[in-house]
Amino acid sequence: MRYFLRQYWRYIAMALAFATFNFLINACQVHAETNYNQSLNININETSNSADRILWNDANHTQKAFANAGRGYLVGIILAYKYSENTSFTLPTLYSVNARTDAGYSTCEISSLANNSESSYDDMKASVYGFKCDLTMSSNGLISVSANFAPAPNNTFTIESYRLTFNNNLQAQEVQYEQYIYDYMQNYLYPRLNTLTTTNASILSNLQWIYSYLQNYIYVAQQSTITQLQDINTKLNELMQQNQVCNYIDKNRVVIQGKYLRTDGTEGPNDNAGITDYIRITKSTEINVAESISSGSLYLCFYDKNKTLISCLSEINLTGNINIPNNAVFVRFSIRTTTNKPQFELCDTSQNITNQQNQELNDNITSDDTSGGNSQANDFFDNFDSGSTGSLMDIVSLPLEFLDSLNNTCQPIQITIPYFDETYNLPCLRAYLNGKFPNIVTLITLLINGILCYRILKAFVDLVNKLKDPNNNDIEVMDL
Amino acid sequence: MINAIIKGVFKIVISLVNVLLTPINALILTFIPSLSNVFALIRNFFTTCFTYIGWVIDMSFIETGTISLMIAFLTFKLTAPLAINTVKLALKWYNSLKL
Repeated sequence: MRYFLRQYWRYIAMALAFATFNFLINACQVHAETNYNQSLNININETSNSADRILWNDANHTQKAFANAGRGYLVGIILAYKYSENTSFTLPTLYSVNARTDAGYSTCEISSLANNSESSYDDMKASVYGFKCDLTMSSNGLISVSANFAPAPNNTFTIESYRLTFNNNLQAQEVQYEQYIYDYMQNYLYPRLNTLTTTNASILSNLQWIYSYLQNYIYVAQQSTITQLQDINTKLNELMQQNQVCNYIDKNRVVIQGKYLRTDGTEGPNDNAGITDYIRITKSTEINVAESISSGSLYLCFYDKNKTLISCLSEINLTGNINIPNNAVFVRFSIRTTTNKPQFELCDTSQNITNQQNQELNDNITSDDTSGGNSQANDFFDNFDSGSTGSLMDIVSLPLEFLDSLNNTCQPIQITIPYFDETYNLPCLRAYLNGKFPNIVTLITLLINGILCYRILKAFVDLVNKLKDPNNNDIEVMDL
Repeated sequence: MINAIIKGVFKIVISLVNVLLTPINALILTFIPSLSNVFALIRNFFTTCFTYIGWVIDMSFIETGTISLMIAFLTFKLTAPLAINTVKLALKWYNSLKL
């Protein structure tokens, strides 16, 4: 036992240190669960040296059941913000998103939607990230997602996460969200829809809800005369307009339950009705009464950029396409909550997609012919060119790089034995021997370094003497 | 301190040589691209070797102080004789012309 401890005490100490470190990290981490559309306040302590984590599932606060086996995408937006009492705080940085399915963990792609973390605002400071998880399910199962933030010590901030949706691969036609495939294009979320005739309003309303929420948020920031957040606006406009569809207003959009909008803009009680949030509209927005609902307790009110009431319309004025006042920037709907059917639709007329384009999109998405992709992939590898070119400078500067590399500290070398697939570590010999034979190592070091220093100093003196000779002015090739 | 000065000298020398070699490199890249690839392979080989120098030096029991002394001497040997002998040569020519 004593021999064992003497031989391996370093490894035991390292293991103990590692275990202690892990324990401290776990102790410092904030673990909390949040609904996907609810905010979560996180306070990070100064001593926290690891990521803080949020976990979220579906709207019912349970893990979301994945309807079918296969591969799909989970796409969302994470907003971290704080209303600024001062500007000394630092917002956390999202550095990873992980999704877990029955098939294991998947690391998700993340991207900043607006790089405004270094800017300060009178109203708030925020960072917005998008993420996309490529998931594989071996059978019907569950999904949970976690997001990890780098610490921002001594700050309390709010994180909101918005899960847009996931599709369940191309062949999963029975799942609830089969009409939608979300893709990731560079730095923004890009909804790619394979049909425009869906009546599945819940997803569209989710998307629109996030859009309108962030629009409001942008508006708040703009009041502070800071315009950087326009970046989000631009990207979300791209998001909405790339494949613009009519976004439906149904009961999922209601934020005030049990009330309706009167024609003077005030709110009145109605157990069967609800009022939506302020939804931003543009000059190219078209509001239609949904075909499925031609009558009912429907109202809508228009507001200007300061959310001051402009006018309201009651159901007797609502037929087909609705005229929008010129100065209207926001709209609120009062709709019935006793039905799941959409009651209004908001369309963007700036970029309508033709039926032919729609059909092409469908064809592209539903096609399982991957020969083109395989061919391109093969070409890529067949004609692979690393693009690495060298120059004479690389050769000429090698001696200098060699001298520079002499200052490198020792790193253990890992050697993998071919065919046996075993890896061996070659430790730094001096440290290893110093632990076993310290006196001998000291003696050898003294001898070797003494001889070397003597030779160097002698060469230096010889060189100086040579230079002192006035008749010797030969320039050696090496000098050049 | 000495290391920082020496590294600064290295950078200056490398920059100057790079300026001199730029047109030649452009010619090689244009007319003999394969040679350029060979240069890259040689560089990559030595770069790989240089990563293990720390381990080799550690194995040879050479102290960092000795290495610094060695680098300083090599730098002196590669720079001082050239400068001093150039001055000597210039003085020799000047004396010859004066006579």
